[in-house]
Parts: sequence; structure tokens; C-alpha cells
Amino acid sequence: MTLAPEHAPKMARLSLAERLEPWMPVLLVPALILAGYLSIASPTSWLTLTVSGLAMGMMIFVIASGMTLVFGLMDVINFGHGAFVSFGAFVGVSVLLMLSGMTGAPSLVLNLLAVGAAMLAAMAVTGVIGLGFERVIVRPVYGSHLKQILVTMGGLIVAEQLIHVIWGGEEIFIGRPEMLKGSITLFGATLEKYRLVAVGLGLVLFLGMRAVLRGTKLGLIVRAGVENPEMVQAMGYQIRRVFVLVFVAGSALAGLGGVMWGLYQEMITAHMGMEIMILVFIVVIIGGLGSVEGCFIGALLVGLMQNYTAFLEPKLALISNIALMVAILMWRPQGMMPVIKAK
Amino acid sequence: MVRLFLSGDGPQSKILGAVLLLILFTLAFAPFLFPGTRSLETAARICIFIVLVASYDLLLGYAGIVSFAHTMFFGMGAYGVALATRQMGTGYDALILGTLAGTALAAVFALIIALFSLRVRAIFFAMITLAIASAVAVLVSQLSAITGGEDGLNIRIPRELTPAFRPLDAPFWGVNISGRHLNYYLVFFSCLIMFLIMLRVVNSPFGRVLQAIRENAFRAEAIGYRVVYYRAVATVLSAAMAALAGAVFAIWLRYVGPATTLGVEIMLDILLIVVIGGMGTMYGAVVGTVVFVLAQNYLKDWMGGASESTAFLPLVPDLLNPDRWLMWLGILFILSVYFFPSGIVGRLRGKA
Amino acid sequence: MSDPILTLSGVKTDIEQYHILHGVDLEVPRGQVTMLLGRNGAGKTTTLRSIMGLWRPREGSIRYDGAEIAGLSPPQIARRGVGFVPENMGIFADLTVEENLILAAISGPIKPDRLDWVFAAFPALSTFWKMPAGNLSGGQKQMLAIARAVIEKRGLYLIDEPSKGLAPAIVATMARALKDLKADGASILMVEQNFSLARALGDRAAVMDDGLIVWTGAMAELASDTALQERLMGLKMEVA
Repeated sequence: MTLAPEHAPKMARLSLAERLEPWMPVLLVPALILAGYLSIASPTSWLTLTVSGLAMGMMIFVIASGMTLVFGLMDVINFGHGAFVSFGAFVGVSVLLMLSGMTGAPSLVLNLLAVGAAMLAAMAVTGVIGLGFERVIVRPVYGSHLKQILVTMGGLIVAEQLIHVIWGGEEIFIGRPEMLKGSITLFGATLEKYRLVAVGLGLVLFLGMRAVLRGTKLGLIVRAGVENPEMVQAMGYQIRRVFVLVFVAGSALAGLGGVMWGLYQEMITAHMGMEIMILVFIVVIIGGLGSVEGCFIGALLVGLMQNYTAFLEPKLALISNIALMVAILMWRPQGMMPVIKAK
Repeated sequence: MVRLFLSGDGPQSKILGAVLLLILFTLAFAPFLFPGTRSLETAARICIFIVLVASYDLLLGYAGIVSFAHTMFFGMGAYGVALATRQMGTGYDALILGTLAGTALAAVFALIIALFSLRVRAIFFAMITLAIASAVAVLVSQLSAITGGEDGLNIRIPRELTPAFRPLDAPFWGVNISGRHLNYYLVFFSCLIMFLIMLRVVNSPFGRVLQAIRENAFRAEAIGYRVVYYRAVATVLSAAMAALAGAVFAIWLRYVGPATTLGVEIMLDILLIVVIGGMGTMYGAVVGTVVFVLAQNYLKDWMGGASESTAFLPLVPDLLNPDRWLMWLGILFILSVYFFPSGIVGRLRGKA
Repeated sequence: MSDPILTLSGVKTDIEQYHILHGVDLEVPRGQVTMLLGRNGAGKTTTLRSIMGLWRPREGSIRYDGAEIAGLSPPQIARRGVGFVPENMGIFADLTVEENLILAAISGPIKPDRLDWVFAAFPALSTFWKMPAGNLSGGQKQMLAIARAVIEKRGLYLIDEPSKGLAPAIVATMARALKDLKADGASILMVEQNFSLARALGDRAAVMDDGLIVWTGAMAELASDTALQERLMGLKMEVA
């Protein structure tokens, strides 16, 4: 090879610090868990809080992932994403209430089947709503962030009201299925069963999403589209169709997150989506708009932070997450894992 | 003279001009036209909301920035007055100092948020303000030792501004003048002045630069305007105006609480009014607020009636339930953004 | 000689309120390399982007392989067999070299013989096969950009300034690869500022100025006439 110097690997010259740099955000999670351990005197409380923090983080991730991808792919900011959360929760809970025979039975299989059915129903309904939302609300306002924010916010208001029309104005209380009630004891710490299930489900979804994004052509198109949609088009892919698909999938995931959240809080309201959106926004901002990995890490950080501070100083729980956001934006103004945009 | 007050930005439409004059006249003589306590309450609320919405329009319509923290600034002014009177006792000095302190706090907060988020991406602003405003609202309702929590705080204002004060022995134009009326005119004139100041701002060279930025931030930056600077100043101005409106509101209500100042619902109301009235017009705030308040009062009654008379139909009565009126407003709002981005005022001016 | 693979007639393109192309007429013959030359801002990149559908022409016709393509969307045009290497390379930095090429192969899995060809032309790509493309050097990125276009056989290649900002050694590799492609009978429309590269590769030349084609002819003719070059491009070409 005559052109050897050009081909010499540049990476070999990177120092350890430089090589660690991209992994810094990942290290923040254990760092926060450690900080939690040091500030919470009791190891058992710490373990309980860590598990519930992770559970909360996983749920926020499930909800936020679709939103961040939708933004990354088409530069569309959807303030109405919370509507899918609320709708999903109401549909899921309605199904669970209908299947009370299954949820009340002391059989894990029947319980999980009921929960699975509720989640699938919620995803199906919110997926369809997402399709309509994209067409009616979002499509006419491409290219204008201002109008997107206004119109999707309007969509959220209407959706919230529709929930009232369909399910009435009151909140609904929902008990967890029989076998997911109560808790187990591990190293002396009380761990709610449902939270463990939520952590497991969230992890599976994250890994599944990663596998799709890294291992399938569709995933490649999505990742490439986040970076440079025009080039994806010029290569022969209809990015609009991919976008609609992602929008629908993101809406369905938000609906699933709504069911998970409803079972976590054991109560649902039409307004819950809007409330969760506050944490979702913090997560997508600190994760880096458009980045699924950043979103995952951000969600875990927010969930843990929320639970640790709620234990240490309950009044500061939400403020602590604002502080987290401010700190991360001071460190990386574009978020932890900013998406490289070709422009 | 009129042109001077309006900063050369007249209604540009006979109908709009007539509507505005009617509104001004009605508000100016509200205590005599509609003597009841209830209607005076509505009139004062309209005055304050006009300023609140106009200050939001300054940001949304002129600078093209969406904020969800406007009620937070509104609340800062209101709580400023409440806390000052609590600390310093009843008196005009407490009212003035509280107003100034609340306004200053709002301005500083707005500056920090603006520098933080606008520097990176304008859309961060919407998300960050939503998060911060919610966190502050939660904090205010939790720190009950200072803020009175969910219950809020009652404010003791000087006697001259309360219903107990009777300056005249005989009725004037058929109305028994009380301190409440004086308070109303305090509200009316401060709001009128604030509105005219904002009209001046948007028609100044500064306002025109803002609009240039809204149209094309990139080009404005290329011409040499520091976009971040202009947007930050607009944010601060708008926040300060909202805080002043909040202070006036607190003095009028003699009460401040999270629900009346910081609630998400109020934020949504502001958003709806500004879009339906007409973004980037200032007068949209006036027309929008009046339409909104009237709709709130009368549309709900009408919906209640319609809901009952359609009770035999499925779903329809639920859709027409007065509690669902926000849904219809939401639909109207979405349609406005699509089809009449310049709102009622834009329509009346014939360039929608 | 057969009819041209691409014919532009009277193509007018606006970018926002600015008129950039004022009626471009251009023919790209089959199996030849056509060089699009001209000073900066003459409209060369806009011409390529208009062909690709990335800017939609306001007027005029673009016929590719006998069919009208003006007004089609970029994916439709790409699927008809137009390969595009944009000015800024359009590399997906977050994707590996492999993933970039998988995406580029739109009609199915990568064909082994094409891949062998790419590796022979650009060995660096096999070295960094599993590496994120963002970690490549500028020259390697350009190689990847060209590799993506040639990973499948296309009816026409649109290549925008492949030598831009690259070291001479890399330009030589690039030139060899493009010559190979040409020997394979490919039809190429290429924008190039580096005149010696243009002269080495081009069969035909079209010179643009101010949104119009002002001269077309054989590359050899332009290359041998320095006065013509100076008049057309306003530049003194180094005749190396």
C-alpha cells in the first residue's frame, strides 16, 4: 500500500481520558447510585430507593424514547406526546378492570396475561391515535417549531378533554394484579414486586429497541435519518414513511408507558400525561434530543434523583431534577449524547 | 395625540377600532355601567388579563418564543406583594416594595432561563420553562410555612382600597363609591399604562428587530443583530410585565394562591387567548381576553342548556357538557393556528 | 451514438426567493464522464441537487433514461438508478462503515463482487469496516461517500467535488477509483474544481456561469485552449 499513512488508525493516539469521554454519561448512573448510597445512611433504604428509581426511570424511558426519535428524525417537537400516555393508561386500566377475574386470581400466569392484554390494547389504541395525530395535528405544521408547539399543545388539551368525555371526569383507582402486589425482601430491603417487573420490562424494551436500531435496515434508516434525513432520501428511502412508523411506534410505547405508570401509581387521571411530560422533557433535553441511548441514561438519572431526593428532602424532589438538568446543560449544552446533525 | 399614545400603531380597521373603543369605554366606566360586585370583579380580571396576555404576546407574537413559565412570573409579582405586606405590615410602601421585588425576581429568573436555553436552541426554551414552572408551582404549594401552601395567603391592603372605605357620603352617578372602586381604578389605569408601554415597545426599533428575528433568525444574525441578546431582553421585559400584572392582581384580589396565579390552566388560557385574539398584534390581547371571558361566562351556560336538551342522544350531551368547554376552545385554537395565525385582529384587519 | 442518459432542458430552480438556475440545458452521454465546471456560485451544486430532486425545479424538464424525472421525489429518483455523492459527503457519522454501505445497497444485501471492487479501490474501508464513520479522516470519508454510490451499479453517478479539501495522495487514489468506474462503462456527471483531475477524467465538459451553461464540448478541446479556460472560468488554470 502506497498510502499507508492515511490509513493508520487515528484512534490509537487517543489518551485514556479521551477514550473514556463518550462513556462519561454512562458512568453518571453508577456515580449517582454511589452518591445516593453515601447520602442515605441506611443501605436497605438505599436499595429500595434505587430499585424504585430504576423502575421509574425505565417507565420514563419507555415514554420518552418515541418523542426523542420523532424529534431527531423530522425535527418535530410533539408537546402532545403526553396525550398518548393518558390514553394508554385509560385504555389499559379499562381492560384490566374488565379482566378482573384474571387479575384477582392468585395465578402469576393469569395476572401477567391480563397485564399483557391491557398493554397490547393500550398500544394498539395509542398507535392508532398516533397515526391520526400525525396526520391531522403534526403534518400541516412541518418546519415551524412555533406552530408545532402550539398545535400539539392544543392537541393535548383536546385529547385530555376527550378522556373526560369517554371515561368521566374522575380519577380511576386501580389495584395491581394479585401476584404483583406486595414485595420481596432482599438483603433486608423491601422491594416491591411490581417495581422489579417494571425494571425488567423497561430493560427488555430498551435492549429490544437497541437491537432494532442496530440490527435491522429499518433501524439503520432511522439512525441515519436522525443524522441527515436529506441524504437518506437521496439514497432512495422514503423518510416520511419511516417517520410515520416511528411516530406510531413512539405513540404506542407512550401508551404502554402509561399503563406501566398507572399500575405504578395505582391511580390514573386524564392529566397524568401532562404531568409526566415534565420529567420527559427534562430527560430528552439532558439526554440529547434525538438520542435513544442518551434518553435511556437521562431517564435513569431522573428516576434515581427523584427517588433519592424524595427520601432525603421530599419537598425538593422535582427541583432536584431541574438542578440536574441545569448541571448537565452547563457541562454539555446540547445534552449528554448530542446527535451529530449534518447541516 | 391618540397616535402618540398608540405609538403610531392604530387599529387599522374601522370595526376593530370601534370594538376597541367600546371595550375601553366599558372598562373605564364599568363601576357605573354594571354596578354589581360580580361584574366589577369580571372587569378587573379582564384588565389584568389583557396586560398578562399582551406581555405574553410580546414574547410569542413578536419574538416567536414559546414560554410556559408566564404564570410563574405572574405569580412572582403576586407573591411579592403578599410576602412584602406580611413582612412589613399593611401600607403602600409594602405594596410598592413587594411589586418591585417580585418584578425584579421575575426579570432575573427570566434572564437566567433565557441565557440558558436560548443560547442552545429556541425550542429548549419551551420545554425548560414548562419544567421549571411546574417545579416552582410544586415548590410553592409545598413550602407552606412561607407561601401558605395550597391555601395561599390573604393580603391586607391599605383601608382606602377596601370596600370598608367610604370617601363620599352621597352616591355618585347612582353608585355608592367605596375603596373597592378606587382599587378598580388603580387596576384600570395601571393596566392601561402598561398596555400602552408595551405597544410602544413593539413599535420601537427594538420591536422591529424582534419581528425580523422571528421571521428569520438566521438572517437577522447575519445582518449583525445579536439574536440571543434581543430574545433575552424580550423575555425579561415580558416576564417583568407579567410580574407587574401579578402584583396588581394580588392587590385587587387581596389574596394570592397557587391556583389563581401559578396554575397550568391559567397558562393554557393565556395561550388560547393570545392565539385566538391574534399573535403579534397586541390588540389581540384585548379582543381575545374579552371574547374569552365572555365565552367563559356565557358559552358555558349555553352548553349546559344544549347538553340538557340533547340528553336523549348518545355522547352528544357529554361533548356539550359545560366542563368540556376547554375541548371546544382547544379545537378552535388548533384551527386558529392552521387557518388564522393572526387571529381575530388579523381577520378584522383583513390580512389574515 | 445512443441517446444521452440524462437531458436537462430549460431547468430553472429557485432557492427560497433567489433564482439560482436560469434555464440549464445539458446532455450527459451514456458511458462517458461529463465534467461540470465553473466558478463558485455558478450553480453547479444546485444543478446536481435539482437532478436529484433535492431542490425542485420551478420550470424545465429533466429526462433520465428516456423518462421525465423533474418533480419526482429524491427516493424515487434514486430508485431509478441515480447514485449521488453530495458536496458535504453526507456520511452518517454515527453509523459504521459497514452500516453506511448496507444502507447504500438499496436493492438488497451487498453483492460480494461490488464489495471486493470497493475494497480494492479503497483498502482503508476494509480496515475500518466496523468503525463509526465519524472517526474516519476526511479523505476516508470521501472514499466512503463514493463507495456508497458505487456499491450497486447505477445508471448515472452524480458526484459533487470529490477532491475538495483532500491531500494530493488521496486525490490520486480517488482518481484511480473513478477511472476504474469509468472503464466499467459508467455514466458520470461530476462537479470538479481541480482542473487537472477534471482533465484526467473527463470526456466532455460543460461550463456554467451565473445559473446557465455557457459552453459545452470535448474535455480535450477545453484542456488545450487556455484562453478559452480563462474566458469561461475567469481563472488561470495551472497547466500541470
